[in-house]
Amino acid sequence: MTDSAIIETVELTKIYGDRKAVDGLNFSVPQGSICGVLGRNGAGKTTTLKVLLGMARPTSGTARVFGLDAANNEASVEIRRRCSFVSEEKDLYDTMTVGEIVRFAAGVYPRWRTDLEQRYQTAFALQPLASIKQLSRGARTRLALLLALCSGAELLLLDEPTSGLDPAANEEVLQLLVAHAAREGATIVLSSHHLVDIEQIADRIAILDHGRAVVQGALDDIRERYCRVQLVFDGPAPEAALHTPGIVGVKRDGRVMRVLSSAGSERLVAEARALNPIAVDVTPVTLKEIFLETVAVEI
Amino acid sequence: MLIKPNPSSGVPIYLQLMEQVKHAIETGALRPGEQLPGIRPLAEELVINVNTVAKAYRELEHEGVVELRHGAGAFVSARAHGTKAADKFRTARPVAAAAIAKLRAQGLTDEEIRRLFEAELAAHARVGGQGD
Amino acid sequence: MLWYKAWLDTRGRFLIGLVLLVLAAAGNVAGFPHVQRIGAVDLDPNEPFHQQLSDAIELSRTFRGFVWHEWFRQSALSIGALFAALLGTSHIFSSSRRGLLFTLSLPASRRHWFATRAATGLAELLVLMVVPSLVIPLLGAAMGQPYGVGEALVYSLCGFVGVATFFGLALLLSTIFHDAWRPILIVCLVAVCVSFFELLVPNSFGVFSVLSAENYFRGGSLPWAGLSVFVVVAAALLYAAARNIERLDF
Repeated sequence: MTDSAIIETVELTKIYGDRKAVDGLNFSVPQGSICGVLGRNGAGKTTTLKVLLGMARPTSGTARVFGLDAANNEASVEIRRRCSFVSEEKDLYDTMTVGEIVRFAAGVYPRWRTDLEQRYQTAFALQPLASIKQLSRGARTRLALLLALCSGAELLLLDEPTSGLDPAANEEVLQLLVAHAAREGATIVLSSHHLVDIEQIADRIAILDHGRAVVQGALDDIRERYCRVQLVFDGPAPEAALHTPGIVGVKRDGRVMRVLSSAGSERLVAEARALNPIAVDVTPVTLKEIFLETVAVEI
Repeated sequence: MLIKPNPSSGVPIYLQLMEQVKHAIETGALRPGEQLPGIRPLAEELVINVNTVAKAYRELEHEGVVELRHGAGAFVSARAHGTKAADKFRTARPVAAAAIAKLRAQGLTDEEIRRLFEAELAAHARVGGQGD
Repeated sequence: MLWYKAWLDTRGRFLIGLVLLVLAAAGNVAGFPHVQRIGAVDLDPNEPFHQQLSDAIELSRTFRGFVWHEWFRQSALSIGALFAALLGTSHIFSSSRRGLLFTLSLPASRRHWFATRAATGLAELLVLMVVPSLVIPLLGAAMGQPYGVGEALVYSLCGFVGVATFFGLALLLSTIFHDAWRPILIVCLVAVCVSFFELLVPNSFGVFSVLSAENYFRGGSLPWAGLSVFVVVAAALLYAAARNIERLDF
């Protein structure tokens, strides 16, 4: 498993002043996957990306990309040769034009793909003489993505690539990413608040909360393991605690008890039947529900 | 031909794709020996992960529904699952019709009947294959 | 490509500085005929700064002395120091800089960025000190006052060494403070304090003396020892700035 892990952090901790942005994070991404990183604001998503790129040094723990130590200066430059980044703000050089920044990036990345550059520049309708300062948010996102996609990188780190985009632009970005991953075999890590987007294109997710990964794994596996069991009782739902492993949360509301399980429903239903419910319902859960309940629990 | 899967239904996308392919075979939209869309073009068209499409095709091959020919693509299995499945459906329909008529007679609405079946399916579908 | 970025970031200040310094040099020189017309001046020996004032007046009797005292010893150094501070604070890793995270994500080490930035700044500073000073022989010839190009070069190069130190200081301060105005303010304060100190206690450290090659002016040799001190200090400041940048967390 470790051999094909393109990113791997072990007990990674990053403290800024008195704030623990990342707290013992164990996070890994297999090569060739599209990994969605979810979490509330301040959960540590951006900090993790920064540490992987050598923008911030770990306080403790290790972070490896391509098997190289992200905290080492020389290794970090090598990592960045094979990796590209789009920041949340899509922050680029306002003093340059579109054409100038493309030429600039082409000169800096050793594996620049001129063939992709042609294709994307026309597809994105970006005018080479346009000043970056005057680009709309959508155009700026497209430009940032163009720079990342043409860099010849094996790994793309994208911080909220679809934030602030209208639905059509949003879908365009997803199409781009899926196509790029399919054709170039690149690994994509994207942090996002758009859970539906992640469910659509990611095959792996990690949910971060307070600097730690509370849920991590293949998305299909998570979808199969997580389920909601709803029990309806004749009288008020019993206060008895349930001991089946993998229970994420229990909510009691009058005569109804709802349990979120991360380990399937069979054992849970068996234990629950001992409480004599009048109805037992097992339903799949959406990523949104998993997110909301695993993140709330940690507080 | 294949419609966009619903990412937030809670059902894994690869399962949805498999269901769609099987359904297409049952209704005759895909005939035995016919080629399925390529993994990459399909992934790009539906805007879903290419690994997900690959997984769906692999599972379909595992179930004998399609054949993966190296270098050529995926083809509907010539073992005429289509007609078998069509038979299966033909004998199953009266059973379902009887059950629905009975439940309606008991006073359940169609929506309630549908949820009842889904709950029963979900409860029993998890057997064998879940981690502890 | 990194050179291009460094140029883009600094060209505004550089060009403004160049125009300003050229105009200042020209203005300075053009003032000579007026100064020439001042006749004998009676200074009360008990007046403060009596010695400095009478020295200044004596020097200004000749074009060579005037230019040395007014331009190379004062204006060039003060305006040069100001632009050294301005150039030193527009560095690539300042938090307010647009595109900072993009820069940091590129496959170039911080050392490389810094070296490019420092070299560009120093090159620009060199031009700022030398080119306006070459205006003087030009204008002088037009005014019938011959002035050696070689001489202008000597003084301007010595001045460059001095303002390069301010550049290094500004660069170092901007790796410590994250806003743009504090480093500039501090460098200017340092410059002002040094000038006041020199004024009140002349010939103590001889900062201005070294940077304007006073010894050379008076027929002696170049102040190699003094210049070496400045070079070492500037190098130390740049090294400290580079170390700071390596250690920064973003």
